[in-house]
Amino acid sequence: MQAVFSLRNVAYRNILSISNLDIDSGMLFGITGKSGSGKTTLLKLLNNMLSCDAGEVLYYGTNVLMLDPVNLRRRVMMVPQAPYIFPGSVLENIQLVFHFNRKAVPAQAEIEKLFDLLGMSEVLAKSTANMSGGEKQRLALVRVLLLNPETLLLDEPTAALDDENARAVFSYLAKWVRKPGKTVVVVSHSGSLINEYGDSILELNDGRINSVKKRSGAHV
Amino acid sequence: MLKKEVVPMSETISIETWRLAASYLFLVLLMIMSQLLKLGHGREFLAATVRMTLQLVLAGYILELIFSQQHILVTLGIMLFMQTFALFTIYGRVKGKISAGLKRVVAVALFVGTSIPLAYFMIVVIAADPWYTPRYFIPIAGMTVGNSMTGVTLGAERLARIFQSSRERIEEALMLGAAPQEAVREFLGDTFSAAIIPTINAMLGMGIIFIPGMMSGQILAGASPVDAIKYQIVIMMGILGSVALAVYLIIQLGYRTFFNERAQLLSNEE
Repeated sequence: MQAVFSLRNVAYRNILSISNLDIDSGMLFGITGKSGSGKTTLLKLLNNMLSCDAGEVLYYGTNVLMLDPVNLRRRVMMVPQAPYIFPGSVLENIQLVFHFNRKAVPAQAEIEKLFDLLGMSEVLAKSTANMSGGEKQRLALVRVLLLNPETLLLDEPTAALDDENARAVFSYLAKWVRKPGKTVVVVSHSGSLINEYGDSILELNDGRINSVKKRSGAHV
Repeated sequence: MLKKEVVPMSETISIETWRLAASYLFLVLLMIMSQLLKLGHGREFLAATVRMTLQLVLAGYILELIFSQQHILVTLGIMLFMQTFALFTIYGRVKGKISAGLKRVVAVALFVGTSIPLAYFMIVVIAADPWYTPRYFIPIAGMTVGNSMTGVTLGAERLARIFQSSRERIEEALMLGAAPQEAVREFLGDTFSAAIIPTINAMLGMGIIFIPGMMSGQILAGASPVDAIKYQIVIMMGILGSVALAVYLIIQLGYRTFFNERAQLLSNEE
């Protein structure tokens, strides 16, 4: 299996210090750990929202510093824990992110299908101003899934969702990651769904790797 | 009884010294009012009037000296002095609110934004011979630099405020694959409009709500109102061009100072 990300002697301020880590292609890779253990910082180093102070982060074998940062973020897309929803309608949000990526907006039917799959067809007609935290989180996820990046970095994607919706999201991601060339890295401080769906789980403790557990026979 | 004497357009009534002194009667009135109202600001009113008088007398003599020189280096030196003075005035106003990088952009915007329109104005529109004739160049440069100073201050302050209050939105756009310019495009438009609006408002009210000082001055100095209006129009256009160019430079160069070469949004401390 090819490594999507390889981290070698990476250090960022006094927040994170990782001597060696490989994240393989085609995986749903979970990251767990207490608050302040460096989970979000690690995600931001992967898509070059931050640059490490020492060491190197490789994406498919190339140091991310050698890659065009904007282009890298179009391939490795991140959804933060409290995503920002742009003012306007749901459709305008989708149009805007496609505009950011210089891509044509998909057909309405394709958009509706994805909303349906994630059990949120009612959100499509809603004004973004009246959305709950959970609806915003799912809209943010749909926004990036429609863009179809190579790699998804998700920071607590189900933190504002009830159990049923959280499971629907993980179930969808577990299927999505089986498509060729896809990888998902998910941060979560609650381990249950990650333990169930994750192919590999990294536990961070105080900015250092505590353990990396690989699972076989994950959900598909 | 008032004498009904028609003064020809080109003739200027020279104010004799005693008449000039007579105008200070209004200061005396103000001080009496202040005394009656027990404001206790009499000294301040007197100091302001003395300062205004000394500054203007000094400026008058200096300008007379400069106008008699007609040397390109003297004219350009004064322009540079005005620009530098304006720059430090801006720095004083935005103290602590903008980064060192944005300060450098403010300097470029002010110097380039005022110099290019002024050169065009002197060479093409006024067509003075020589183009640096101080009696035209210096007043026009003063108006251009003064107005651009306001536009640049508004632009820089607003830009700094946006990058402080809208970090979340800008970062989200970056994470979603936007180039820095795309991530802030909407804010740049808003900043440009906000910084240019005072100039547009001044144009809207001109001639109806107020008669501009320059035009009044020209009319009092004997120019025909029609000539004064022509000057006022071309000068407003010059000011508009200069403010627009300076503000455009502020936003187009300024937003870059909030990102590093890896298209990452710099933290507020950086």
